[in-house]
Amino acid sequence: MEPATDIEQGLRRAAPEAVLDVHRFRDQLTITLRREHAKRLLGFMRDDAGLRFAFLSDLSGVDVVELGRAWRFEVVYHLVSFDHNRRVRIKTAVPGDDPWTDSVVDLWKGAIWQEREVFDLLGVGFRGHPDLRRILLPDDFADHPLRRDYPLRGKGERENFPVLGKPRPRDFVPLFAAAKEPNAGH
Amino acid sequence: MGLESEFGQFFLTTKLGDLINWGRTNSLWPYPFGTACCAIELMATLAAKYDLSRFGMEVIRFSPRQSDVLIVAGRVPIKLMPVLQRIYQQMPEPKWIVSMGACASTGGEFNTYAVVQGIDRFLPVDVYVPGCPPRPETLITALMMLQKRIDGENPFGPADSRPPAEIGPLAQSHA
Repeated sequence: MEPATDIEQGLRRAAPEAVLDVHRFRDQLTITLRREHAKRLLGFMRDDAGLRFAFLSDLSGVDVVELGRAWRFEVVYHLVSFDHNRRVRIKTAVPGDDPWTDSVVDLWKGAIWQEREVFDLLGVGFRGHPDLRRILLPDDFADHPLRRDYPLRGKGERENFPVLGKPRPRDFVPLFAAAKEPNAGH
Repeated sequence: MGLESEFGQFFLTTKLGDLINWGRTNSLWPYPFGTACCAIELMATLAAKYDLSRFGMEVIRFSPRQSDVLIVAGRVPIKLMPVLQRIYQQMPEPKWIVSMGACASTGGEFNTYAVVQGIDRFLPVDVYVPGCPPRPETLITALMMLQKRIDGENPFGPADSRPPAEIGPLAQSHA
């Protein structure tokens, strides 16, 4: 099947400067967008009559720091068009020194937990997200462990608990002795 | 004994400590803290074929306030460790912990930031159950070891006076 070129052409017409990269692999189309334009173009792809990518199948994030690209993070949107029965993968390039992108919760309400997950594990902020909290890790966790520079065995979080010992069994003998003594407390 | 010969078979003399230990040993009420596949084996141990109630443990309690054996079956992530410690603190004394399986005892194959590398770092474990997951026979052996240990305790003395758990045939093959 021929990869759909109308998607790329439609995006280039809508915002020529927004398309950073177009990649085709085994009939799968991946388009990387600048983050400043990403939300507007995703809305365009959802509503345009020729595209109608109405369903956000998945939203995830990747740390691509080892691939040598001009940006560190990619937020990945898998879109499905039921009207035209096809799929496309959209990526948003997010720099590492100021990691944020626009939230798409306005467009797809289902993105709310997935954006929280990307924020939790990668530390990418989503502007306009109504409730950007950690979703998987404990609230007091300090780091973002899916970043490539985070050590696999952590930074001591798994050692940071109080040590509970065996409780000492109650001593029965003083208990009986105390009952015989006059109660000094009253 | 004097009382038995005087009053017949309806009287039995024993020591208070032995009576307490007899009761404690044969009426353990486990709290099943199952987080992974070990919990499936734990359920199999409770079910008809292996039937843990033969050992006085048919009363699985889902409230820590009604149980005295905490069976930790599965890996414990960092988010769950405060919960597990809270559950242990809520259990009435005397109380014991069985660490079931490789994950609960050592972290198992999950040597990552998110998994506690053995609950015994933060909780007093009495018996470890090897296996991944352990078969029901192994868990039953461990619980019988725990029963032997409880039977040897001095219920009036400090915790340190307890003898070490007797090494069963399964543990011996590991040593």
